[in-house]
Amino acid sequence: MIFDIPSVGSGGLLMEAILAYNRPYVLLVRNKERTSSSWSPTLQAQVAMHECHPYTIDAIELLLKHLAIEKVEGVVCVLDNLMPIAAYFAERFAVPFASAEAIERWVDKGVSRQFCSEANISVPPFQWVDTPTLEHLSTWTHYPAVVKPRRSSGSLGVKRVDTLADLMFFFEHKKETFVADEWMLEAMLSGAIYSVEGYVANGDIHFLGISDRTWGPQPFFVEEGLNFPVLMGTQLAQKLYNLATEVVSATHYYHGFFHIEMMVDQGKPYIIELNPRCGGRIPKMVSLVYKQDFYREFFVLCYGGRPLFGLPQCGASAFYVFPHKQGIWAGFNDAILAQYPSIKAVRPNAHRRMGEWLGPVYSIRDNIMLVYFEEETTELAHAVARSFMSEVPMYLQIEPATQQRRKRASILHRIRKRIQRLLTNKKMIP
Amino acid sequence: MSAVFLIFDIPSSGSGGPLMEAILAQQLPYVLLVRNREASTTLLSPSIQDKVVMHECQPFTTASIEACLTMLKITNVRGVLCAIDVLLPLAATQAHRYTCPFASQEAIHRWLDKGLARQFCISAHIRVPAFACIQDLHHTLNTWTQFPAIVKPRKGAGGLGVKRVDNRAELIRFFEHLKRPFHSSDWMIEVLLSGTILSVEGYVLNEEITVLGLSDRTWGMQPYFVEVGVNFPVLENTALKNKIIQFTQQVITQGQYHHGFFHLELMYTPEGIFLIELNLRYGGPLPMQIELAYEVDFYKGLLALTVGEKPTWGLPQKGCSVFYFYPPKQGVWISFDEGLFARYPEVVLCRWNPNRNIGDVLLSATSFKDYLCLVYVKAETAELAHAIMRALWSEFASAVHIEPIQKHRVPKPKRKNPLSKIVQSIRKRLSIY
Repeated sequence: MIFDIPSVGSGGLLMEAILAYNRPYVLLVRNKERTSSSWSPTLQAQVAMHECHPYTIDAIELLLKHLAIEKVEGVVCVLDNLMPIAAYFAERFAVPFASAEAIERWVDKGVSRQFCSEANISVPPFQWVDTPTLEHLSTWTHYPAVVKPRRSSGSLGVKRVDTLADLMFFFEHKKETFVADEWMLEAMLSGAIYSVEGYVANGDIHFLGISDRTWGPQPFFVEEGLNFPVLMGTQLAQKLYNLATEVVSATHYYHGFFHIEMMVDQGKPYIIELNPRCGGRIPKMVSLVYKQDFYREFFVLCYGGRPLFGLPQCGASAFYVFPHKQGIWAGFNDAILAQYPSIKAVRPNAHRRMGEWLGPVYSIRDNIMLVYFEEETTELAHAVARSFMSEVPMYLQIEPATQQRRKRASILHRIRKRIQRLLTNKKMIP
Repeated sequence: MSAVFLIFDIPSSGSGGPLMEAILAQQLPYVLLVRNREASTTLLSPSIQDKVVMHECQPFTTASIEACLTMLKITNVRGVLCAIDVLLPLAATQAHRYTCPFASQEAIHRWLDKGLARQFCISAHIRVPAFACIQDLHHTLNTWTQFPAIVKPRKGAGGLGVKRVDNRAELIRFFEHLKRPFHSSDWMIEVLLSGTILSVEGYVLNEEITVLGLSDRTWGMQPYFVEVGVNFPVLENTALKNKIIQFTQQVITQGQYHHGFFHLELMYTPEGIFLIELNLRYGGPLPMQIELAYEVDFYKGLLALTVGEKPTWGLPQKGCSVFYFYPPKQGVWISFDEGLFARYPEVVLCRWNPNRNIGDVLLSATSFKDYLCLVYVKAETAELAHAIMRALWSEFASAVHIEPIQKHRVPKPKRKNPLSKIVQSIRKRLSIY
């Protein structure tokens, strides 16, 4: 039983694996068209989906009744906000899964920080933001700070603020797409960000390794790349594993994959984010590094078993290609990909289309493509990836959109809109 | 007079200042010969600017150097120090004269000119990228067919003048718009390989080669090859490191380099290892990186090697990452929040570029000399130091305040309409009537 899948990245891979292993499945999606938008046409034709409107427990119950499903062997969910629903059905069908209580502690960043600070697990100083009033913001003194939605991913909406004025300006000008009261504020630590990747099988914790991050220039926190596995055999790695063990045990996270983000400030790790799932790019990275099919072991865990991963055999690096300047994306010369045999996979961003206007980069979703590298060690894979990135601008053609062109485009846009309005409004037509 | 250390000018890349500090700290007798006193003084920290004694030689030739040494009554030289490529032949002459351990003139001649070095490599079966020395510009422009390619000065350093060209039209345009005085024989063209640039740092003493470690590179966006960062030591305990050490031994033995530091740059590609260049000196920021990684006094070891003794450095204990911080955008540099570096205890040193001052107009970086400051980070491993450095770099844009150039332009006085005089004279005439 699969509770929707991410529209970008690992969702397609998961479905490919399900089909490859001939697993019987029920895929419950929120929006059929959006879910399959980034898949290959062959995959789109093969995957059967069931759309639920609204995506609630009652609606899903009705659908299951309609499909006459009485027995479920395993529950799969890799989307944070659907985890509580998945946990409910896992409990109902007596399938191994994290408890609803643990999920609640992990999914909401505000709740998880509150829980961690009460359990003496190191987290940065934080505060929930009550956006309707914004009264207590003046009491916040830890600057620079990071303001972020309590429930989001892909760095969407996350921004650095250096003063109270910056903070007030942010809330006055933020987009309406975010629910008003679901924001939080936390002190910005100085240091590198790492993620501990692993899983819990019926209470036993296993670590797959640690990945690091490269961020674009602040004030936004746009992920540019990651490396896996890093910090092999260092003292810092042991500190990160200890903190991960502490938080998994304290929150009673009993069964499932985890992706715990930590920031290391002055040698001390702090919990930044708890995710009750594997990290977005991690399945592919694990497959490359362990020379094993990640999803084969993933399904073993979903069915309540214990996955068997060996030891890392090599290192991997993944880099997002972002537009290096503003303009119109006019072309990409694939020849560069053939020049780097270390490139093991390329995933173009389905939301990016050739000829599109490329503006400033605010989130991971603005990428053009994601490129995976594999080499003898992670350090070497990252060095090859950096060489590749220095060459990319020569192969990525972005044409400047001059003021005039933009102006002309906007006038045409206005005329087109006016005509559309005239055609739709019958009263205006004589 | 007791034996002195003979020093040939101060390198602008930052290692010259610490060398003089070490010489002063150990109270060693020295003679520092410089090409330009004022330029060399700016490369020293203010605390030692008044203490360092310099001797300006103009022109900087063997004759003027010998005249200077005779005037100073120098008869006994303990060791010769030179970390500037173009001065190596002069330094070798003096080293030979005073029988100090130093590289031979033959080895210097072979490796100093990138064109000659590549020609030697082909004869010695050392792999180098396909190249052509530009003897006849017209002929090269018509015959070179391998693109993308790199054009570079044969005796350049620091990425200055190095540029990628993707087709013949770009190649022609490059030579048409060349800024500095151009002699076609000063340049070479080579195939651009796709791979990773790595460097080998080490020294040769009595023909025994010691590799201190490998360093990697981060480059800015092409078509320029601007060095952004260096990590040291990398690829420890890997099979690739052993292969690279073997390759290094082959290059140095066949190239007959017998004494001194070396900094060998190579390109690691799927087709194998290609030599890019061999420098008969230590790499720019590497002295400090070696010092931090090995937890030793680099300059003490350097002075020991200069007099023919082996530095006792052991094994690397830590990792070090260096980043050149470039302006994140074009404009006028207004201020920088130094609190940023204070928040990262791993930052052990920050060197500001003496040629950069607040208020400078910052344009795009086309060479590593355009950097604002050089930051050293030390951590448990080079990989960890690099991760911290990347975090620091992501914060840099918020810490540096750069304003658009337009804001600082003095408005030009408005030109009067040339017709206004005519209009005025017509009005006057009309008023008469």
